[in-house]
Amino acid sequence: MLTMIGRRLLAAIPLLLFVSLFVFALLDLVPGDAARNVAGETATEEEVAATRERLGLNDPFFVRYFSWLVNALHGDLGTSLYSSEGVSSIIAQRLPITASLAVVALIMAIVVGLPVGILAAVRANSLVDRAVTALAALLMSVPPFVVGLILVIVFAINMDLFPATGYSEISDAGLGGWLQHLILPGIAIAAISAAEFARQTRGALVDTLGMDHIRTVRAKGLRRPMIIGKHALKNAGIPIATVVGLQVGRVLAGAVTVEFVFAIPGFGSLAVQSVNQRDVPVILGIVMVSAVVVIVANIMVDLSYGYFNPRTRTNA
Amino acid sequence: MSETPRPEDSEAPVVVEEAPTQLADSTQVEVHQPRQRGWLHGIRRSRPLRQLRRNRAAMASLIFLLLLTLASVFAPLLATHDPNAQSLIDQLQGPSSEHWLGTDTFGRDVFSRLLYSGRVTLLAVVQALTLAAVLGIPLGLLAGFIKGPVDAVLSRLFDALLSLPPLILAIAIVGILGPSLTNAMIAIGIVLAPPLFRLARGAAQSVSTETYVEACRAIGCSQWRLIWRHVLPNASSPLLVQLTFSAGIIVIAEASLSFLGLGTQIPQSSWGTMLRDAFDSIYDSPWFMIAPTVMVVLTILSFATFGDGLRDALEGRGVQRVSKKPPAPRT
Repeated sequence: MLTMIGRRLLAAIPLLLFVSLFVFALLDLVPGDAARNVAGETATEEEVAATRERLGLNDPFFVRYFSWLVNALHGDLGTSLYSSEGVSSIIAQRLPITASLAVVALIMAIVVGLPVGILAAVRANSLVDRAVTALAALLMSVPPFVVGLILVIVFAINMDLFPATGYSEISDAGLGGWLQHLILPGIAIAAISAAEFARQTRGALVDTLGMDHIRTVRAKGLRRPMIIGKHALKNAGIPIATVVGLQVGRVLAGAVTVEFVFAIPGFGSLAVQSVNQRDVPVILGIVMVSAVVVIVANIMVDLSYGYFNPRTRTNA
Repeated sequence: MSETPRPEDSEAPVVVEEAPTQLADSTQVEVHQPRQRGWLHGIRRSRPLRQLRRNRAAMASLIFLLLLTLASVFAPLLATHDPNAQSLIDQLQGPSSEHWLGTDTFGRDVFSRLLYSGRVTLLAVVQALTLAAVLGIPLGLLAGFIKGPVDAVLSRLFDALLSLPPLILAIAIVGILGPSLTNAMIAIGIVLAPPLFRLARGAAQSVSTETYVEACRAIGCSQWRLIWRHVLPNASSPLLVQLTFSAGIIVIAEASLSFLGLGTQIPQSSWGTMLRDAFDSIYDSPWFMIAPTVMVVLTILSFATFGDGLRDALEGRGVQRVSKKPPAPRT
């Protein structure tokens, strides 16, 4: 098990190097002069040149890439061009907010999507099943920020049940206040994921329920909850776990627009803000951090396969 | 990371197995038809198409998409007003015979804006889809066919792209190129290329070991002819399905980027910018959201439903009501 984790982590290294090289090369294409932006509109040519020298923008591409890479490995992702704060510390401030949003969203998606999917699979081709399938298809077609807008209008403006914007720390507002700010954006992000969980759970379970071993346990008189819970769901686990892994990237992407709608100062709004400010080091940091998050999530999903299907342990 | 199962992975082998049968079918049909009836007749009678025609949801989606295309093409004829004409006396009106869907905060006619925005959105879909196809498919075919170091480098590059959340990568690219619709579509085109690359590569790889390819090579076919005449047709079904799903993703992505102010810029408007306008006046007039939301959702739903139908038809599994396989990833 440990060697497998090690091997997967090792395999992730060249991938991350490629991602970083790609993004760094892209950022090098930025039209406009970062040094002039930093030095300000009124700066003289000498001041701009000095700023350029200070930011290391005169060095050749690979020199800059390697110095950035070495620093990144030490946890230093550079300095924001805009606020002269460290990129790592900016991201470290924003990431926990998005992480709590993501956790709330994923929990909601699983709590809703899994049982609904099971229900649809158990009653395959019934009216319930068709309703679930149609609803899931519809939900998957609504972009998260649109769900967010609808929720704001209905629950924040018309009913005044939840705050329309903002975020508060657990330490400031307590668990209730914290959760209150996360419910609507959480639902907005969770909607697509819940639909996909339902759809995938249904699909995987319908396949599994048609297998021989299910017929056998049914024949030996096992009760339905036991059949579904112990024998069917575990076999359906791999596609479901894969979907969980895919949701991590989706939640991060959903956070970008949803945090904008709800004015949550998280990772996603940082992305929008840094793009609007053309803050290259922050953009680079954001892309790298999200790549790491997605890759780690993928590794964890791969490891979970070993639990769901022990046969995959040896040849992994 | 290459072992990480993703939906593309699970999709490629299945479809590739199916592709030759589909090809065999269509050739069979052509053999049975008298020559003068032409190729169109052959296509019309082909099994996948008949199956697709029987899929009511897919056909409804197709009709909606066709109507949308027509409405976009003829927007200047259909629009009742100039989409950008402001009229402060008429602002914030409800639906009337003069303004079918009412007017917005600037007194602009919502119906006309919706038509012109649909035009911008569809054009964006075409742009991004073309770029994704041009980037992904030829490189994928090449990588799968030539193999070796070219394949290794290209595969790593596209794997790296695939490990990034699409919207975040798109935003980063827009951040680099500067906010505009074309740049946003370039970004989305780049982001959507990897799944196409993988499908094309997988298909090319499996086809390249077939006997008929070997035979063709033996009689001296050029590499290019092999790829063009033998590999691409065999990869076309999964690619077509993936392109349909991608179109839906582009609508989401365009709406998201334009909503954030990173896509379509004034004076043009898309459904995303209309949603942004609605968001900016959400406390005064929340109903502005309805029209662009309905259009965005219906368009995405249609692309997804048509894609499902297409996949079922091309895989010869149209009997099932609901597809059991993991759907293509969406943003």
